[in-house]
Amino acid sequence: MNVVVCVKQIPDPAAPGSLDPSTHNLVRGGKLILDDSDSYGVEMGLQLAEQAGGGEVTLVSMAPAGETSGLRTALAMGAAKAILVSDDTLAGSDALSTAKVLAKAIERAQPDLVLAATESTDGYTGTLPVQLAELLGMPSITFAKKVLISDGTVRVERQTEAGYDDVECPLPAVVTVTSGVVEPRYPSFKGIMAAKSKPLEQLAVSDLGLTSDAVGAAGARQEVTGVSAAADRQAGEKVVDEGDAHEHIVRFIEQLKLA
Amino acid sequence: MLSELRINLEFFLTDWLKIDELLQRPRFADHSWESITDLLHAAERIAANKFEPYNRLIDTEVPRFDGEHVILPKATHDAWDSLVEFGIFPASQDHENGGMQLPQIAEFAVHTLFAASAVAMCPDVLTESNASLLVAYGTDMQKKIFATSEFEGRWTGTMALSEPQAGSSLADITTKALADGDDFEGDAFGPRYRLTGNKMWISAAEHDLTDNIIHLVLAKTPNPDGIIDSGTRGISLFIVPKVLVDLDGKLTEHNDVALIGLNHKIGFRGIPNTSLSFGDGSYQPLGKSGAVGYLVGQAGDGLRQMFHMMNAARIRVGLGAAALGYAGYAASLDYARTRTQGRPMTLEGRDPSKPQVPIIEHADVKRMLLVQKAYSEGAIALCLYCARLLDEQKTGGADEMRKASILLDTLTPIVKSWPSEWCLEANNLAIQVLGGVGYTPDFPVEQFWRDNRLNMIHEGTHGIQALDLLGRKVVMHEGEGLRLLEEEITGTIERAREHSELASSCDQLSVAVQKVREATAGAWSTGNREEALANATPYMQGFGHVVLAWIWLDIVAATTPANNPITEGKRAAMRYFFAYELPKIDAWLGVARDRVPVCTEMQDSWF
Ligand SMILES: Cc1cc2nc3c(=O)[nH]c(=O)nc-3n(C[C@H](O)[C@H](O)[C@H](O)COP(=O)(O)OP(=O)(O)OC[C@H]3O[C@@H](n4cnc5c(N)ncnc54)[C@H](O)[C@@H]3O)c2cc1C
Repeated sequence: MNVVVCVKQIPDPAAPGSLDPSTHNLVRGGKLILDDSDSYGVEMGLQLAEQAGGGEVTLVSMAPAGETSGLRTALAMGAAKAILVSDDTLAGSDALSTAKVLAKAIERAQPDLVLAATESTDGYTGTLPVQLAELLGMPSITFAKKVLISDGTVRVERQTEAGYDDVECPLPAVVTVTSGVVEPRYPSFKGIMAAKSKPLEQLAVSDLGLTSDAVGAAGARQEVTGVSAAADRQAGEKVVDEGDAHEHIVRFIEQLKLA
Repeated sequence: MLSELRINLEFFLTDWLKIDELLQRPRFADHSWESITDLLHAAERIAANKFEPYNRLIDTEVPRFDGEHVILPKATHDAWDSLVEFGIFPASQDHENGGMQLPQIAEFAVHTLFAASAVAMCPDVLTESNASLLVAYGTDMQKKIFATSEFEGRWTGTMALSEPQAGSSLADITTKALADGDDFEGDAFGPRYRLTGNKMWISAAEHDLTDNIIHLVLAKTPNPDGIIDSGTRGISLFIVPKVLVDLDGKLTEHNDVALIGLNHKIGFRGIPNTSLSFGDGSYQPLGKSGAVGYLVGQAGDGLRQMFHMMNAARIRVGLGAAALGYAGYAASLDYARTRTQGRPMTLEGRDPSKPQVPIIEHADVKRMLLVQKAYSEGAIALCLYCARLLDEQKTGGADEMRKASILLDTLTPIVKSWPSEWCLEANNLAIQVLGGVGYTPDFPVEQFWRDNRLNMIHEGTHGIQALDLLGRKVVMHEGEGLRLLEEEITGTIERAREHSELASSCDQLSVAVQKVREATAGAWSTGNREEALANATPYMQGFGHVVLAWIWLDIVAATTPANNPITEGKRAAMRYFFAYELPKIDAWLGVARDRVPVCTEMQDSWF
């Protein structure tokens, strides 16, 4: 059971971030970290490989300047190896051109299953995994809260607003994992030390058989035309509990549902 | 809070303490700055998920005795398990002892994150320092069975020194240890004794986290003539497992150690504190009453060996106090940025139709925040500096190792007492910044204060630290400790002189060092111990403030004033310390220098 987990390395949300005023792209200088929403995919992948009694987890990531910090975190959690695509020509990529790059990298790993987060914490487009499935010619299932593998089939409890649907499809497939559905293990000290000697293959665009005009800003079909500041948060409504706070809360939740 | 703290720790490790130079040393060949930052990130995540959210819970769901077991909340079990899986306990030990030779400065940085999140979560410090003592003094078998199990987190450790009638004065302990039968020396775990007596205040001596607990107990043994020394010479150190074990470390039967009761405390409530009875016949291990204990090292050498654990624990007490100071600082900073109250002192501020401003804009609130920053970050830096000395002790050349040991010995009372006193004051100010809500349990600052209040009491009270400093540390080896410290400070001043804007601070610190020297000489000028030590605590306060001024100057002199908030913040903290704090030393050092007899002359009946 070979699982590829797509992981994104993003600027630390704890550090103040900024946008490039000319391109409106997020400035990605400095150390990047493993996107928290990907840690669920990594954990799910590790569990599935363990349950299958064999196989391993390969990480695939695209990041600037050979950045590996986030990959190292996932390797320290237990992934076996990583493929990193890093190339100056990738700057300005949109979701589709990123998917093209990742698809080529994933093909090299010949996985039985590809896992990704439902969306990244810095970009939030949530479109990449399905584009990836299309490019790889694999079926895709989104919003998995539980994943079961048996006899070449993946069965997923797919989260919906009302509960969940049972869906299944043949392997190989692309499945997106909802945040919070498993508890990602913490990298241990031993794991961190072991991660240093795990294979990390670093590829350029040309290694993938892609040309630079198909990727990065040149290949992007999407353009950010403007950015405006989010509205200031409005003052909340204070409820003084005079024994009837629960009624206020019920009303508040009902309004939320309507909205 | 944790991310900011981690960024600060990284700054101290790289920009100030130059960890990359340390990492060149052969002992640390496996480590790189990259893997150490990964370690800090991982620690931050565990602290953020398993510690910080439960800090209030462990304060309210206190350890409970059900007649058989002391039960800790699930959150404590989870946090303990996560620390054990993280594998941090043996991290800095030698490879041959199952460790990974992590530099102590990195390990200390990791612990700062946990301590700032929930300082009283679990007995990690106790367990680690207990096992480290056994690594230093234990036999191979004692290491293999007891230390290893503690490093692996399967068992926890305690230090059992205090007794109801003997807290500060350990010479007066009465717990006794007698050789257990004629073959007592033939036991695989070391010479076997039977202990009887009561211990008081023993932390983490009963709980349900692990199925065994390893007590390191001080007890008196008779000399070959059967006489028990009334001083410290008769004190020996014993391993007393709660449950006895066979040669494979499998649990066999309950030792004759019984819980008398749990002590109720105003803080540090997550860790149970116990009164214990040894050898009262509650159990009959190996067929008879008397707690079975295995001698560590030589008989009569107990206190010296225990100091190994206490010295390590004292630095960690300082670190815990510093981390609590930081936690209060971060919480009050957060609050001050969002709470609006009052208007500026400017003309414009007189207009009541203008909106109120966040309280962080008031000079007095900034003062309270800056005090906390200077105290807590300064204290963290001091602890990291001492950890750096621990690394030097292991990896420096012969001369550096010796110097590092003496310097560390001299600074131990400071690194324990200074954060305990001043980061408690920082927590006091954190409450003040919050105003009324600071005085309620709706915000965490009052708990930080209660938790921190312990640190001036345990591991040698404030007063005892002061006696240790003035009575021993600055006079031993003919004052070499103080001389070495002066050398270090002079080195810093020389480096700082290269920055013209630091010139007046350099002058100020030179004078301050001179005052420490004069106070030390003045205190001892009559050679009368009682006179010399009567003002030991103010002496320690003055000494500590000079040390912290030096630490701050050293940080600023070593880091370029890049126009970024971190270095600007450090500069502001230094300026604050030199302008508001360092001048206080005159009062403290003056009474010590002049052997002011006001307190000694005070009569009981005049109170
Ligand atoms: C929460 C908590 C946890 C603890 N955990 C442990 C533990 O795990 N293991 C353990 O062995 N102990 C532990 N202790 C005990 C602690 O170390 C002692 O409380 C401490 O050493 C002081 O002893 P005491 O309480 O008997 O106070 P005392 O020694 O009676 O001191 C009372 C006051 O008198 C002063 N004083 C005493 N002697 C002198 C002197 N010669 N000159 C000047 N002033 C003096 C002290 O400074 C203090 O201010 C713990 C205590 C607490 C509160």
